[in-house]
Amino acid sequence: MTEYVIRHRTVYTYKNTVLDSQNLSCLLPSTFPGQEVIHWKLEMDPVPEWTHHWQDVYGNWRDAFSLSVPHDSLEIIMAAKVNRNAPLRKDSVLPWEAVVFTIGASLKMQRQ
Amino acid sequence: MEQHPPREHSCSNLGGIKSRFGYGSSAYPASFNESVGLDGTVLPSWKPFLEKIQSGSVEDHTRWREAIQRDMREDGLTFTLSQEITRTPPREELNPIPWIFSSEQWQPVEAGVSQRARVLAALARDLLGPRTLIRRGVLPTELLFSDPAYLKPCIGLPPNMESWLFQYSVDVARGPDGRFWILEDRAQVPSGAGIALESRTIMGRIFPQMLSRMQVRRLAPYFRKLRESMLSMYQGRPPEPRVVLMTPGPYSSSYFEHAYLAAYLGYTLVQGSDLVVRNGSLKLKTLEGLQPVDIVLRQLDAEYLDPLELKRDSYLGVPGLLGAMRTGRAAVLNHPGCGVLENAGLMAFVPMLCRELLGEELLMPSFVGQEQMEFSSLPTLAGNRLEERTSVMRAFAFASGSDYEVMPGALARSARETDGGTIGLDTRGWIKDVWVLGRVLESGIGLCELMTGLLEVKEPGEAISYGLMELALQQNENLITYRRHYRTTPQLRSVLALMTASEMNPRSLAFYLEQLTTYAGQLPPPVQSEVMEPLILDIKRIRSRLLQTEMNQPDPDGTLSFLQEVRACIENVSTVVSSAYFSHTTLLARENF
Repeated sequence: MTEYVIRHRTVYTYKNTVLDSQNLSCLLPSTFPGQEVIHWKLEMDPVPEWTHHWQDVYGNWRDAFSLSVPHDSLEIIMAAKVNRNAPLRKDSVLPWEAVVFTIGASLKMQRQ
Repeated sequence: MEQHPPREHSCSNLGGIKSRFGYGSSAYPASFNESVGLDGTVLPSWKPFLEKIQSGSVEDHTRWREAIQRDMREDGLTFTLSQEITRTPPREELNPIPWIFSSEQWQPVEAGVSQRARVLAALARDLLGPRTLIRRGVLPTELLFSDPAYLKPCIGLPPNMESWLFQYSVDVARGPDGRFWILEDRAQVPSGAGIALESRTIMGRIFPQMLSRMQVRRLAPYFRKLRESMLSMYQGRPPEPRVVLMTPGPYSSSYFEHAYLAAYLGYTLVQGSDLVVRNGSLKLKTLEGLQPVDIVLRQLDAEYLDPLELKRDSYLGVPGLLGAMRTGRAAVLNHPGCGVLENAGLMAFVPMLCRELLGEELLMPSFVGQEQMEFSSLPTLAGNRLEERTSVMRAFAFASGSDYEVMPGALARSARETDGGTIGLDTRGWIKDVWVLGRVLESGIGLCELMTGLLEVKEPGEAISYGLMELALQQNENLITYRRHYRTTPQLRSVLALMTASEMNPRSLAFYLEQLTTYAGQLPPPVQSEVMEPLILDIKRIRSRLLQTEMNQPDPDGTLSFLQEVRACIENVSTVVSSAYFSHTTLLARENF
């Protein structure tokens, strides 16, 4: 069991003052077998007037938020604590074609 | 099938309809001309109209054409069905000859279209929700996930409506086998309904008497019910949801149709920039500030709806619109995910899906692209001549509870040239109105009921109120006729006379019974003429009694029992006809076009 602390910061600066903005972020890690998100936090500056947090069709966590105070920059900070059964290895990432092949084969097996 | 030469008919020569208009040669199946029956004669449903055209002079034809052009210009309507955005949309002209369906001919179209809408709605519910059809391998993954119209952000997006497919339209054509075939499903934007409405308005101006004399079913109730159904199926903020009609803007080739439809339905016409999402709720920018919006009738493809989650460079949409569906109970019609239903690859799976999802056999077959098929043709006024043109039709439906209501009419398109092998609703041609004739049987029974209702309300000795008589006249669409003829407040004797014995009134019992004798006398097999003849005799007998009897107030019971007799007489015909045809629907389809 390894504990990871992840922090991700995004900053946008605008040439002109933004009066109204709709935003959509996909920043949070997911929980699945072998990985568990213990804690997460999403902070924006300016503070949004409205947020919505949901899981998309792929299971990713999405966060929509809107701002209607005039702003020249926007900062988003994601912080999370994640437990993993095994440490991440760089060579464990499969090429896309291999992923498609593996999923296809497992779907076929499920049907049979 | 070999190519057949164009047929031309001089209008002054239409008296020889039978020999000139029909297909005498065995090389061409009689089914090819919509106005001609298998025996080569003009169908009863077409006769009055074609006689009208026949009796028209060259000046009449010019007058009709000019009236159409003037109306189209004045309404600012450009007839085009293409989705492409262009500054100079092509102008297309309405042809004064409609496509006419008897109620029996229309029934299979109605049943086929509403069934297909139900299949696709059930498919949308699954593809945009749990996707069990994909998981179980019923539908191929490759087909769906390679389709750019299968918008992933729309999967799991709540419709906030009882239906996943509120409006549905479909292009159909009749093949040489006499059946209607599905050419293309339209599940995103049912464009053309406004043009159908406008075509009907123009036709009503040119042939006002024809429409009522032939009992052509009106389109207004369809749109009224559409509004009602939309409000009752909406699951968000009660009690009076605000509806807007969203257009891509004046550069869209269908902009005038959008404006026309919005004005007709009484909805605000908006572009994306008129709307904004605040705190996850959809709002309309107005001079009085932001007003909540609940239902968006979109007239643009889904990918343009929301640059935040869909096509990023779209300036036609509203940022955050999908979010407003997720959190703010906004309903966007049709659901932005419905585009996937138009995937041509799905066509082949529809018969199986129909069994799988509805437990029914598919009524209307799909036309698969490779098949070369010739469609039926319509008499068309080209110049001053009546010619045949290959034709296709777009039918419309909306969800009403768990079923679909099909428009009793449609928008047809006929090829501009005689060589119309590749006619489609997106190619240029003539626009045509589609007339569905009312059910004579039902109208007669309905009128008996209406009059019984009028007379039964009366308590002994009490006069029937003017208001009630006016209401009865209005429901029978006779109020204006009555006022014109009698120029007084309603008198029961005259009201009854107008609604029963007036032979001039196309909505009187006498008129219905006259039509019923004609109808009953022309029924093709399997109806036996031996069975029909005594019934026809009954109708004739009761009709002459009707003309002699004076229905009057002092004897309400006598009048009521007489009305019951009339009704029973009509119902007898109805029973015989439906039992004879019930097991012969295929034959009926062939015999009646």
